[in-house]
Amino acid sequence: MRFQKTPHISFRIFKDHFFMIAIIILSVIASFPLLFILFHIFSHGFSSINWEFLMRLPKPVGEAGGGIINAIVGTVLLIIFSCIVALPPGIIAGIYLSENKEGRLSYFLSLSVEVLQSIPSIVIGIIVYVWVVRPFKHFSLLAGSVALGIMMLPVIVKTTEETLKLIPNYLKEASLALGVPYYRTILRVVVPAGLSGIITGILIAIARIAGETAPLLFTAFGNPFMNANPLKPVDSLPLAIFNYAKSPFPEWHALAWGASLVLIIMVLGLNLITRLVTKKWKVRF
Amino acid sequence: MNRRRFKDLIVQRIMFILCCFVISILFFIVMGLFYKASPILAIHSLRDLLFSSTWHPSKGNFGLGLFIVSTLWVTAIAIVIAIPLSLLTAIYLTEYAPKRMREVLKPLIDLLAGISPVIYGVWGIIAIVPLISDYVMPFFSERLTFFPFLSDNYTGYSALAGGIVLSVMVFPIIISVIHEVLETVPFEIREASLALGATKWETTRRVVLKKARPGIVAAFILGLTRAFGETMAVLMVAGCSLHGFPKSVFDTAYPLPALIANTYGEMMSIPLYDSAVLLAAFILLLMTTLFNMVAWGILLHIERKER
Repeated sequence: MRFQKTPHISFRIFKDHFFMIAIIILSVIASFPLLFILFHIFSHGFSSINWEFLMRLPKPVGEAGGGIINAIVGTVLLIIFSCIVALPPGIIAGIYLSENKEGRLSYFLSLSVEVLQSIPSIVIGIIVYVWVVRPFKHFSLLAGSVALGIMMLPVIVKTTEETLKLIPNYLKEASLALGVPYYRTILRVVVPAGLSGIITGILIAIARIAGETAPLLFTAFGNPFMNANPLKPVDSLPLAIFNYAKSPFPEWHALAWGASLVLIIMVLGLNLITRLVTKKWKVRF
Repeated sequence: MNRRRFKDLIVQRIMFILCCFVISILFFIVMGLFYKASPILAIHSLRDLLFSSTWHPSKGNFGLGLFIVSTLWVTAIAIVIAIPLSLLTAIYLTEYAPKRMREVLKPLIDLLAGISPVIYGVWGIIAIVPLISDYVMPFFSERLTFFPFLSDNYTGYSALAGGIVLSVMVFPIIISVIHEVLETVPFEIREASLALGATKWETTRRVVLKKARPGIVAAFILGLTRAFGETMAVLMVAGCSLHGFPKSVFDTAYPLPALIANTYGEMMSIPLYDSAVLLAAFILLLMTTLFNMVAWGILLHIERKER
């Protein structure tokens, strides 16, 4: 065995201190822009948020005032519809994966989920444009929800699988030994035990799609009016932010900041709920 | 009894069908892109499409070279900035930060990971672009007139702006993954190293990082994939002009996702246009999938080793 010549202890201690300080300084540098973004949104956003801003439709260029109620409602509708699209296949595929660890179907399933997760959102947008928007000949809420649903799907499958894997086998065995059919065992024993994890996964998925813009450009398209018809275009918060921010009008920039703040508060709320859910409903074994 | 068996069968079938549905989504995406991109592949050779940089849809020139190079260039800048900073921040968070601090920082990072890319884009326009055009660009263009700095683009909308915004965007993702990887390194190993007389830094450098290396690489590839396919933030700050290949960090860049996002209004009118754009999407899909498969392979390798 070769021994390395160790430097003197005081040099090593100096190096230790040096790197500790370097790490702290670089971490501060890294977190500076992140904190700056948060600060900027809060300081600019607060001044433009008021009751009218939250409850009114946007006004044409040049008129002061106007709000983003259409974008808020659109975002909520998009989230609800994409949940309807993505939850049933997502949760069931997750259950299947946790129940069948080996096998050809689960191999292909986990592979395709992995690939789906890596697909850039703009590609999902354009493919939904090809498959959904063109046949219907309309940009629509439905197409937007399909695009967002495809983005949610891998997150839901993965978190469901991970949670259900942690549930001990003896719970299932006990239920099966009592003569409970397999599907009831899954519905009454496995899923309730993993419910907090599944809900956390859904909330994480919603937080992920709430800020997505790229897949909505060709699908939900945006709409300055209120709309709840699934076959008509809708607006969403990120789309509105994008449109207002790239416009040359200062009033619209203020709208963009306000909408950013609303969006961040929504995501923050989702994060808090997620934390509460994991803390309160967690079943311990 | 028979009815119960029957129900069981039905439920299993439904499960099977829904699983096949999930797999078929991927199939539909890949097939749709390939099918729609094939008309242009029949007319132009793949080599022309990939390496030519002339993009004149109305004249029938569909060279994607400029966009591919721009994508790689912006992603490279982003990753060069993001790797050291996010790695050190994650080390600080796991090894050095007091427990209280960690409890404050972790949710904050989660929140930042959930912020809309558009918001990062807006931040890039108001903070990064003026910074580059007023200070960074004049400073470098006078003093350093060689390869990665020489440029005549004074607007600030540049590959560098895109790279910075992207790197800030992937910070939270990379940091939280590396943090999780570092936390899986058993505490006993650190104690053993410290007990042998190694300093804290030596322990971190030679023991913790060594053990966590594959996971850290996977985290970087994950961030890379995210940066690669990101559309809105880059679209807003990278300039997006058709000036030819970016030769400097201050030149404008026009990455693939921005091309796709910008052309949706005009796709229908010109023949083969939509086919070219879908080919761009297909290339993007292939590249991100490749990155992701590598990351997946590395993570599987670690899991197997730990067992």
